[in-house]
Amino acid sequence: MLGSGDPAPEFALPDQDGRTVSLSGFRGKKVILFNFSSW
Amino acid sequence: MWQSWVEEHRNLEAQFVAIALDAVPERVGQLPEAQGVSFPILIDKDNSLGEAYRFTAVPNAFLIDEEGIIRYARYGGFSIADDPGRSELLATLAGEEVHAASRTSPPNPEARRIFKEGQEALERGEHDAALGLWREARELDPDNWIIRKQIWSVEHPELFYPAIDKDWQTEQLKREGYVR
Repeated sequence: MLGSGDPAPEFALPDQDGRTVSLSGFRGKKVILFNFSSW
Repeated sequence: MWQSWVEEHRNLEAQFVAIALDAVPERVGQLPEAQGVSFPILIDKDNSLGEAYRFTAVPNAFLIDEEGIIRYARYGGFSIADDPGRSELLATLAGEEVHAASRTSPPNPEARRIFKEGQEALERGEHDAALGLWREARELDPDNWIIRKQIWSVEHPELFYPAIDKDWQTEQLKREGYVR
């Protein structure tokens, strides 16, 4: 598991319209990352 | 629910990013929570995030600071509307150090590789091949709920959409011989 103080691994994933969004694109801002599913 | 939280906490200047661990992306857009939102909802079809962030279940939450460092991590059972996750996240956003009680097992990299192969088969319309590969992945990583539940949701969509049948899941776990 990752915890406080660990670097957040980079990701680049498509949004619902197919545009790629990466974590590094939010550098300089706090990010709340929430993982969920439809199932 | 997420959208109202985002609107209520706009003053915190934190970017909310939701990531769905769904091998069938179309289902995400049909969720009521995904309608009319102002934040990105990303789709992780082949569980790449589980490998990078070391989880085998959802829902999870992470707060990442301006420099890209994790300041809060809750693995399993996170809800933005309910405690403890709700209070923990707000405390961390206010600068407090919070250690969340987390539960997840580490993902098996070989299981993830096979799951990804199965997802690709599913995209080609090879339904049975996909399920075969996913079952193989499940055998390698029996505690991986992302794999196990996606098998169920593709085999039995009627038990997930529009509503999730929890009783069936309890019985199905017994049928699969799963013991914690």
